Amino acid sequence: MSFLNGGLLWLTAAATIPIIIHLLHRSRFIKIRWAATNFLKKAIKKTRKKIRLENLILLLLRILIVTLLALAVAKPVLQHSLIGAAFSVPTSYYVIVDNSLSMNYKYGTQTLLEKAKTISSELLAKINMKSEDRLTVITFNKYPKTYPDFIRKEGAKELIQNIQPTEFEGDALATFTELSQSLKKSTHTMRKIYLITDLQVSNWKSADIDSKALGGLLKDLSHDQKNSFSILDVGENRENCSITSLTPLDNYILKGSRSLFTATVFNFSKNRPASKEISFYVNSSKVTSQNIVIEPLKANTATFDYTFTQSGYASMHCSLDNDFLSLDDNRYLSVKIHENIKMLVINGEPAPGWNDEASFLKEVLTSEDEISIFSLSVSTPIEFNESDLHKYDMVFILNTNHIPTKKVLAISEYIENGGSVFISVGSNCNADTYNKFFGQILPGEMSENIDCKDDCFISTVSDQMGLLSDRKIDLTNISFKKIQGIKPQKGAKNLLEVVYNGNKLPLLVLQEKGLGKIVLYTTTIDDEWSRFCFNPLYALFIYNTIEVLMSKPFTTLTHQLGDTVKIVLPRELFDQEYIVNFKNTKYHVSPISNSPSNQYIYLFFPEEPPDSKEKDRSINYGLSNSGFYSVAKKSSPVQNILQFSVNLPPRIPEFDLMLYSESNLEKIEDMKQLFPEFRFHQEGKEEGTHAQPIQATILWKPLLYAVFVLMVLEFLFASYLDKKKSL
Amino acid sequence: MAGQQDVIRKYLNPELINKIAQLELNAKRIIEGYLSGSQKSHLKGFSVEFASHREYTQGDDIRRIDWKVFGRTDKLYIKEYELETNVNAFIALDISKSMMYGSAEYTKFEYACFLASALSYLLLNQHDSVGFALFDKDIRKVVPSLTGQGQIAPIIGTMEGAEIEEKTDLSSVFSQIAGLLKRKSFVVLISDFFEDIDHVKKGLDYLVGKKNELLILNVMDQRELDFNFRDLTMFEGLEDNYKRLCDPPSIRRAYVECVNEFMKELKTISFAMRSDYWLFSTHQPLETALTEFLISRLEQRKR
Repeated sequence: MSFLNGGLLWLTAAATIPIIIHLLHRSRFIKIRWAATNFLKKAIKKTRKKIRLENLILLLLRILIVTLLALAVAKPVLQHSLIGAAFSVPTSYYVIVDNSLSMNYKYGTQTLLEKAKTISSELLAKINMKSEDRLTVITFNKYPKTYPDFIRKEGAKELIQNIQPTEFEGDALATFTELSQSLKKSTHTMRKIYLITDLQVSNWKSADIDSKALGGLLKDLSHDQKNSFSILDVGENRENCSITSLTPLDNYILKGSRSLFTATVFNFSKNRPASKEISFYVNSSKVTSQNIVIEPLKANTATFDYTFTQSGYASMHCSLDNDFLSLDDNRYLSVKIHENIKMLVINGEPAPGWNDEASFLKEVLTSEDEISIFSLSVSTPIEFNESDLHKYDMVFILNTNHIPTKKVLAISEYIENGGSVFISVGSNCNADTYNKFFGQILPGEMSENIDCKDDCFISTVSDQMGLLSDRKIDLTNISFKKIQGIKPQKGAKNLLEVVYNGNKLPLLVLQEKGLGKIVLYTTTIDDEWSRFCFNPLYALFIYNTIEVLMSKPFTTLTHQLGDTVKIVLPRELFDQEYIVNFKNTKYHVSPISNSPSNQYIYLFFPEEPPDSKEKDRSINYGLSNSGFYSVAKKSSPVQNILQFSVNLPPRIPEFDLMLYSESNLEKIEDMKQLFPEFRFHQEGKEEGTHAQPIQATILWKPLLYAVFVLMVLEFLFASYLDKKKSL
Repeated sequence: MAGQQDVIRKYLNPELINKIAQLELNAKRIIEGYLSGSQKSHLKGFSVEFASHREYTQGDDIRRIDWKVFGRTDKLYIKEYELETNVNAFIALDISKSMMYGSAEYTKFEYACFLASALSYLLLNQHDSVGFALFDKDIRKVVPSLTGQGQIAPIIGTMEGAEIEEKTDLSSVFSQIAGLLKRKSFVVLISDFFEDIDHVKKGLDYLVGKKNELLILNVMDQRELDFNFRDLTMFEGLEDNYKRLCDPPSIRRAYVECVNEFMKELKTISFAMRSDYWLFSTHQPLETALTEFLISRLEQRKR
């Protein structure tokens, strides 16, 4: 027997109150000189024993009431082992094994999960299962799984030994919800629940709302007298550093160009700075390493550069010298190395010389050097092949009044799947026609031209994206004759604005659609451009716009654990089945849909799409391992057609090994404060293997019931005695 | 002399006298006496009140033959008359310490004194002779038996000067009283009789053995009867060193049972001795209680 509020045990001294009252009462009496002593003697002799007994009963009742009340306040906890041995009742055993990310921590030769498995084996050896008993195994993480009703513990033991570590965070709420549902199915009168965990703080109070839900759930579970809980604590408090990001500084990486990459390392230690060596690898070959010092609870970065000599997909990762959790000591990055930036220019007004609508663009983006980062293909609205759109990194649509609907649909889908489109209106532009044919891709509804009469200038303050850098002031002398009126859609951003008659008008409007981006330039390309494009800043304007258009999340091909990856492949890469390779494991994935224009194929990995109406958590938890994944057609499995990387979320609380198991009582108190109804036991804890089951019931409620019953008894008995006296 | 009158007035309240003056206190059995009083003697004589006829036997006074009966029946019958005589009454009053208890206006002793005075007055008023004694474990004072209202003063004077010091020994003192009485007497015993019932019986036996008629007047305080105390109480014995702290409500029932049992036994004993028993509670006004008692006696006599 132990007490949750042991400090209040002094209240049991109140048990003396009835005795004191009794003695005080006896000291206050009146004196009478009495004649009929004979009768008095006889009456006393006759009633003495009975009265003594009655008074004793009354006194004991009152002492009991006060004592039990004091004990109830102190919240006694009865260990089931004391009573369980006396009875043999059908029992459901629940072994909950934590296989969350933190269980990958490795101290010495064993990870925490391996230690948990050893302890569970010892635990199972001690359990004396009878024929009517059942044993259920539940994994403890964000997506707990239940393996119910083992009749023989050998089966459960084998299952536990095969439990794999996950990279998911632990989630007490999810796990106890799973347990609660499993308990509802149990008809046994005794349930013994063993939780083998490292007691990560983050698992138990990750979010306030959840904490309340978890608190209520734990309260319900621990109040159910059938349940007894045992925490088998395997955690240890050690320091940890984690690489929280690895990113390229450029929006696109070109073959032969020097590219910069930055890794961020966070020190989760509260006390000591960490000195770490961080190494960079490209396609599994170590490129360089650096030593960095990271202050406690701070991040530090390391940067390195690399020049790729081949186009295609490249695998980059950086790695720390291992600490106790190796999982977060690596960060992965898949990048696509471009031969160059391929651009399609759909020219609505081809003409000779400078009259050609694309002449200015060609002037800026092509180079006489052999090595040009941009590769321009020029076509007309009628001639361009929509099936080839996916081959281009960007598409320019210049002064084009009309494109066949089918091709507009293909452009729209190209944007949705990650394409970049630059639209420049021109003299051929007609608002009604644009709205009619390009409406679904435009960032806003076009309206009539505004005749500025050279009185319209780039605003000095409206360069929201820094397109013109710090030289934008120089552009204020450039005037525009006409501006295409546009009402930007919701979510659209004005990258540049011009000022006319004191009003700001959009000059360059950006909108993100799906994975891609579209930019609309609202002035005619010829007259205005003839002034603007000869300005030395024009090239800068174009380059920066391209940077904006190329800056898209898909370019890094990086995903996080738990994501479901939507893989978009061009039609020409169609196969009946695809293979996703992760380390030595191959996953077979079937394409599940075609795009509306039939130009693309969609794959989902893991297979169940996250937005499926019949989504079942037990089928798809998203990506569950970090590392590099490659995709190949089944028909040609050797040739990778896509590669992506998966990482742990940048910073999750579980990196910080905050354990309740540390022999720091304040933390236990903290937990008790959070879940006052739930008991955690640390008695007899030994360093390293501290596995001490508690099987306990909090007795304060039964005690309160007992107090109530005793009070009723006391009232009835006292009333009976009073009535008897009054007769 | 005036002081003596005040004392008499203290014990003989005029209202009480008026109330009981019309009543009588008669012995149930006929007792011989010296004087012609209201008591009827078993001796037949020449009085005026006809009693019965009996057949003439040799030696009878021929003057007592009822000739009228002889004329009708031709048989000789002697005419017998009752002789009215006075009673030799003796009142014995308990002055033991236990009589000093009183929860009402008067102690039992005071109440008993009023009672004894009233009865003395009544008896003397009937031309009976009245003797008086105070007793505890021994006879303490005695007033010899005399008739006439002049006897009331020495009786009351004796009560007034009583010294209450000892406890009772009824067995011993009743035998002493029995020895004191030279003739058959109508003995009125006024006490709380707080002694072992066997002792009481033994003492009464002495008195009855001498052919005396007994009137047992049991004076009790109402609290002694109902034990109606509420608070925790330390009871200290009046006649002994007994001390006891107890919760009266807890033992009330048992106590009342003991008292009732005792009185029942005392009644049974007195009935067996052809004596009369009457309980006086000090909480009851004496006029009421005495009137009730006297009327009850008269009714018994008529039956």
